Amino acid sequence: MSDRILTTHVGALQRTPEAEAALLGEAPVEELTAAVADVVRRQVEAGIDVVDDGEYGKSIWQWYVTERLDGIERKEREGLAPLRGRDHLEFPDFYAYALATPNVLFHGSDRAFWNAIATVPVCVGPIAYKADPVERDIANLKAALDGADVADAFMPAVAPASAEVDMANEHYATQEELLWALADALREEYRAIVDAGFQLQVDDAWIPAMWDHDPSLDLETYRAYCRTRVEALNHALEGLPEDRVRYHLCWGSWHGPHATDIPLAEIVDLMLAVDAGTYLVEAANVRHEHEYHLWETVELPEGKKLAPGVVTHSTNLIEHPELVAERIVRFADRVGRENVIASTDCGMGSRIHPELGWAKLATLAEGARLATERLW
Amino acid sequence: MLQVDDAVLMHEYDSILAEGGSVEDYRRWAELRVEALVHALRGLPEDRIRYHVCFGSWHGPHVHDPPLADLIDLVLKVPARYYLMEQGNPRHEHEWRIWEGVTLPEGKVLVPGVVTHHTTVVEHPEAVAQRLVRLANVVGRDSVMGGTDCGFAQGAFIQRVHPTIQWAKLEALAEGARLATKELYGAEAAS
Repeated sequence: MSDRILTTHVGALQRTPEAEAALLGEAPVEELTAAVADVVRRQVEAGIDVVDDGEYGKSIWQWYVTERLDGIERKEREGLAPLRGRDHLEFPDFYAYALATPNVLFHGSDRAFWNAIATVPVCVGPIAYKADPVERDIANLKAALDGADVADAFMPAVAPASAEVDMANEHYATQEELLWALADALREEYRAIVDAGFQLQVDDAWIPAMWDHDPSLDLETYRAYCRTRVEALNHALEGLPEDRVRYHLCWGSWHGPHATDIPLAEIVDLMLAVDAGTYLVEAANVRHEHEYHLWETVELPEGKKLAPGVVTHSTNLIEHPELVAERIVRFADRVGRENVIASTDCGMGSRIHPELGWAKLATLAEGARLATERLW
Repeated sequence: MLQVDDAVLMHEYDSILAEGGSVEDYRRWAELRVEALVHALRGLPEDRIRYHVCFGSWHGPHVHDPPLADLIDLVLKVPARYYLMEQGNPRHEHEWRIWEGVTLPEGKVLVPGVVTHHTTVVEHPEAVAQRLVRLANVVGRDSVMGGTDCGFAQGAFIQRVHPTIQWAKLEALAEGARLATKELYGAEAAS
């Protein structure tokens, strides 16, 4: 049992130009290895206890997996189609401005990230998993961890539900068949990560964000949709030790109003139904900060941990360590100090200027130290 | 009501220290400016004056902002009834706690920022209510008014947030204030 508040984050950190070039095949692959070593070192220096590879080996958290699957092709698309939804309908002028202006909805010019967004995945044949990229990522992270002073390491991977969203299906008879095929394929990636000794983090932003994405859904239909996706995910997780699995929910990391986000209270049971040991969820931005009160009426099951966001990518201001500590203590008072891990709302990479992303990780660590002093 | 805007009072702390000055140098500078403002306000009824301090509204890291606790005595020297200050952004949100150690003089009203121009995300009304209630529990419910961190536009053509976000934030502020009123005044609350 830990005797302090541990720190982690959600995964993506701003890729360096060298890592970007190596990922795109424009520079030797060794440069990616070196960049991962560097990003692990920087996390340790910032005071992060449970580290990752910055997701340097992935184009973007959701669609990287299409580069690892047989049966998927990518086709050009126009605009940021996945961002359509209730928020878009309520704030059409804002979204028109934001889509036409650089660095409003996201940050930076990483080509791997933007190329993935600019195309739409289409399933054109049977889905099968190709393990080479994850083996490369595992080897890079293992090498980077050699001699590093960390409590643990994690590697993110997309959930079947989030890989499925916006994927056109030209092969399977139904959408659910596509979902289960994705679950079977992703199962291989999950197992590889856990077998490598890392914690697996399953990213599933599209569970909360689907409510915004599809205004035609009523609550009951939406929850039924989610339940099927959670079943598919649990199938993919079957046999993996729960304490090596983290599950991350957020409402989409773009810098929009988020005024139509579904309350956590409506989906917390779905989150807790996922066979994971740790749940990571946004709690540091102004739309979701108040939701810590939920844990006064919802019980965190025995043996589970909560890793709320206590710093956010959604503002440039660096959270004061006192505020970070206050947020951690609020959660500790409700679910127990030994069950709280201090984290970020979402990934920092491609969402905020890298200098600010690193400063936020440092203030996260400082706030966790203050909270530890108060809680122990 | 007259609102006196004074973002430079707080920001000059960072500027003077960055140029090698001391906290004492800053306080000497600041005290003279506060005296000048007090002079300019002479003869005006205090209950018609609002005094707004902020730390500069640009979307930067703000890691060198001074702690409000160290400078609140200067702010309270200004003969105003209402004091408006940032508390809706993550660099200053925690400063509601300074009122556990500082006594707000009788009859004065705090107007904390409970929505901010520093994020595009629109505050949840529940978050707004929480911010108001926790401060009211320290200084008294009659001494709190809901406000914004700063203006939403520097001028007609310089926007700190998109106009539609600005209006949504003002609505969230009003809705949050209604929720806080219900919690703080219960059945007494005016409908």
